[in-house]
Amino acid sequence: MIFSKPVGIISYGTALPTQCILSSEIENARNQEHSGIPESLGVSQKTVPNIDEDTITLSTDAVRQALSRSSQDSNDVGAIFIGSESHPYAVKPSSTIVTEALNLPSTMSSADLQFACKAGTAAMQLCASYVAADIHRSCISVGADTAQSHPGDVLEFTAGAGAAAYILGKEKLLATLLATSSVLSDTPDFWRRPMQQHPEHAGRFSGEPGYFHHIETAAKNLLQEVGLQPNDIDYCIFHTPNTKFPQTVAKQLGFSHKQLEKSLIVNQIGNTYAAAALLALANVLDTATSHKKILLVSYGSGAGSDAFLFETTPLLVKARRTWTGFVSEQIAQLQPLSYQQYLANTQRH
Amino acid sequence: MQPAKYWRDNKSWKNWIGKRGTVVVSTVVTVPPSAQNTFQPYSYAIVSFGGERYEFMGVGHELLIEGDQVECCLRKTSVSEDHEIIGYGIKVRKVT
Amino acid sequence: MNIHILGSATTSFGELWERSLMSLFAEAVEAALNDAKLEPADIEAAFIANKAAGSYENQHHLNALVSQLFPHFPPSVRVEGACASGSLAMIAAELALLSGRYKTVMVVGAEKMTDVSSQETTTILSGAADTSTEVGSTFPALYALLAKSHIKSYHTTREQLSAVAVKNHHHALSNPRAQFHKEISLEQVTKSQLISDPLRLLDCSPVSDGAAAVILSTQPVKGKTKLLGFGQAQDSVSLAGRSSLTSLRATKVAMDQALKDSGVSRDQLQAAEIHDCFTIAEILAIEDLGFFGPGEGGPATLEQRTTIGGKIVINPSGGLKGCGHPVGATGVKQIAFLNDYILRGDANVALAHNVGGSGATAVVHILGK
Repeated sequence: MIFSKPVGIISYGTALPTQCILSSEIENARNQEHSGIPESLGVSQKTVPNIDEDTITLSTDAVRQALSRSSQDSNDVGAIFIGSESHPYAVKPSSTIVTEALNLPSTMSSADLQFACKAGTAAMQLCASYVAADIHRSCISVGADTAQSHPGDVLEFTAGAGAAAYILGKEKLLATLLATSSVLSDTPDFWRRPMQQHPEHAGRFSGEPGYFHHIETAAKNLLQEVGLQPNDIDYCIFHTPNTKFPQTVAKQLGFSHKQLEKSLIVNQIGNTYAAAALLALANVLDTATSHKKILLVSYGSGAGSDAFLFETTPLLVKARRTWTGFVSEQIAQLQPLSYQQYLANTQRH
Repeated sequence: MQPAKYWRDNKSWKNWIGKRGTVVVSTVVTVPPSAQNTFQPYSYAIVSFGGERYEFMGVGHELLIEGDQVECCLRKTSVSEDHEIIGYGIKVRKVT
Repeated sequence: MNIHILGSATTSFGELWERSLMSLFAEAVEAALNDAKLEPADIEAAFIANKAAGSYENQHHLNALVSQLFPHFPPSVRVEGACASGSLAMIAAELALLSGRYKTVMVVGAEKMTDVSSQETTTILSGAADTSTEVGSTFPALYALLAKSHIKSYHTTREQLSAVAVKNHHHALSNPRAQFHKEISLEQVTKSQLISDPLRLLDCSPVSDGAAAVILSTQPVKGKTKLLGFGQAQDSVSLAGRSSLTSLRATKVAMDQALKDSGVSRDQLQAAEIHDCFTIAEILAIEDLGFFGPGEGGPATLEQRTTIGGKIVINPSGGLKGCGHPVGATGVKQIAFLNDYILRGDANVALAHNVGGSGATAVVHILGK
């Protein structure tokens, strides 16, 4: 879908916990020093939510940052969608709590979304659609997660926490959304049943039929639709369950490491699931200059991908001058925990 | 936490989130009441907001001391069983 | 004020596993009647002090339960003011007597705290704070904030805080009703488990069961202790609403009222049962009551000026720390203990100081011959 009217990002915000755990600490806890697993995943540490944090509190922080950076009145926001696979309630939306906390309009359209790690980008597509259809002047999309994993499972090295919020609108755009498209299929690569605390995954099956197929298909479809080649793109962002997968798919699609590298914060924050692609986008936007094209392709298990083509504007560069709390600053402030503290923090409270 | 009380309390969150103050005095609670069981140790502080004082828990296990600049944010303020609503409320965290 | 104490009694304080709340009430009632050599029918009304039976065991309507301990079911009322419940029940009784409605009444306070876990007790007692503005607070935490403020302003030391606990345990040795009959050392207090810094386990009064009763009358009698006067004051429930974090204003105001009401001067007071729910609470109290200047309470305690032979004996019963603190009973026990203390000739004029919460309620009674 190519947008014929202006629609894009008018503000964004991110929230990471202040704590992390080093992959080496997890190895030590397993008596598996120098196991080689962190190196093969390309994840040296991951964020850990505090005992009183969850998807809702992180979403609130991210949206608040986005609102504080926005030039537009929050009373004009017409919708909020929060995508996560760790909504604190199975029934009771996260979005209403964030709305109440931040005094957002009580007349907004709203829902919580679930599509594994692409729930946040699905929220972004919905918001863009509302704006493009002139239903609302601006809408908030959030991708947020406090991911869980079985102790001892390989996912323990990567399941992180974080949130990213994007306000989509039609005026004073920091980055214009030029086009978006999606693919989906019934591919059972990763799932969690309602009463289970931790998800299950299908091992290597999650790779080729899951991640790689959907991301490559969505990326190729979008580039074909807009008539661009990989070397027309300045930055590419692919969902980051680890470092290796996006590096591999980038290479397969014909992108260079230089185009990809700004998105690879997964090494320092882990896989933040529904927030992952959006946090990577934020890291790119935190330093990108104007008129840069960004291809973002998310992936959600079960399975599907959303692809977006953005172009930055001079307004982004100007607006950033007064901001604080960039993704890199939040990463620099991460404090490492012991494995014991990590277990205490991640038990259900 | 009772749903009706939660609903009355959440009306005040917007008045606090983002508000900044200074810690007047703080202690660390290591033996909590049951509503905050598993949160310990946590800081409990009197915070001055432009001269007006209020009491808040600190986020997580963050240590607060006199003079710290803090900001109000939304966090879980009580633990809850799986069948209960989640007790969100206002805590303070250090401004970095 | 022309009110005499005809008799009084206190049960043992401690972890009384075999005793129920009502059996504690019953024991105190019977023992006080025996002490006064009165019949149950002589009691025209009863004033019951209890903080939290509703929370501890879902038992309300205590006024009726205590009334039915008497064959004639006297009119009775329960009074609650957190840890000041006992002294507030005393005031209710005094006002009833002063109105002329009654001539002889009983005040009985009791609390049964040990059936639940210590965390449940922490939770129940935290209900004496402002539960909407002091979320996550505990009483150790609130008094820890007061301690830290006092330390900052006056350089009150760890040793001075510990000295309060050491002294009160020592005093408790000679009180057969006390929960603890064991000396403790400064080092033991200092090394005990940290509860809410800087307060440690042995800075805190214990969880206790117990009851106490006094019989008050406006009938003319000789040789009995008289209630000479009282004072009561309030302040903000939350600490954040206080004008000072280094003194309890309500104590000061209540003391001024009691002195004026009784016509007694401060230097006539020879002993005081004061509200040492935490060691810092005693230091604050002896300063706020005017026995020592601001910041001098700690040094005075460490220098043994608040024990026998000192300027004034503070907490000869062992206080809340050494004798125990069954919350609803404490204010009544203070009066009961001082009654015996005065009748024995250990003092002519004494004071009882009882506080609710972190200082939102304060009551001072002055007693004498």
